[in-house]
Amino acid sequence: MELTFIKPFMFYFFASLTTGSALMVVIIRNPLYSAAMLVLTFFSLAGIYVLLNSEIIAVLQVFVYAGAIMVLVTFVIMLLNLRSGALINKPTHIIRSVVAVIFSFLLFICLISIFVSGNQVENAPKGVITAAAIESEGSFQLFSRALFSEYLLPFELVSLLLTVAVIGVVVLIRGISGAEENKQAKKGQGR
Amino acid sequence: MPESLHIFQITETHYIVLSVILFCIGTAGVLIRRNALVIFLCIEIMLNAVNLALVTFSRHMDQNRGEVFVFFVMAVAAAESAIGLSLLIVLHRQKKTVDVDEINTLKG
Repeated sequence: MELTFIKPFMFYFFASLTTGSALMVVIIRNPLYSAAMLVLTFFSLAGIYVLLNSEIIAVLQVFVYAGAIMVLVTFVIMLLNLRSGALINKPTHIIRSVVAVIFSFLLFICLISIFVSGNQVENAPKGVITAAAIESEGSFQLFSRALFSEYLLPFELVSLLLTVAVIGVVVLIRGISGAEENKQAKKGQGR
Repeated sequence: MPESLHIFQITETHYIVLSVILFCIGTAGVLIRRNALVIFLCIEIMLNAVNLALVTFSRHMDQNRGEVFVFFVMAVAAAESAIGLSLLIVLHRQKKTVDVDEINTLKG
């Protein structure tokens, strides 16, 4: 199955979708709509990863970013009570916006000139995971073999990190709700 | 790389340029916005741009180390978002705001 003919069109479609929705994340006032636009960005980036022949990263992108993280963000936005007006972005000072845009444009020029002119990468030794190897073995198999043999220790450390993060969240939230309970108990005694 | 920048021949350079554009959009968002939640979303955009660059270079070098690294970046981003968002909730309960300009009690 040759998809080389439509590949450029697919790339430009997904790239423009990614860039446009990322811009909308920055421009839109309401954080809930920003989060929705970010979901669109993540989905179109998953399409870009499929075009890059790395299906596992595309699947992980949809699961972890568009699924887990964005659900968490939307949940927090709901929890923080949008109606109170504290969450809606106030208009930014114009000088600040201009300075920020100029700075990021300079950053863009620097990064482009580094990446596009650098040819040190060309001389580095290449690996064995060629397009033919991916075609015959499958990117999932190759990825999993590397993850569970060569990178087993970092994998276990990441699971430890996630456990610590969960414990940290519980401690943070319990600390604040415990303080509120104390305050309410004092009020009750005063009455 | 630069001489291979044709419109209908998608090379690694195209993906890298897309990644740089995304990273700069994220940077501009972090600098412009004052809402801590939107700043968090823009940091996620920057992380995704770096992930795209990692996968592109890993494909270019015929390796899959970049992909494994992206896996770890995603796991750390998940942990970071859990901690960051719970910090945001605690902050909102104490200060009744998520505007980063009003949270300046550490300022000397």
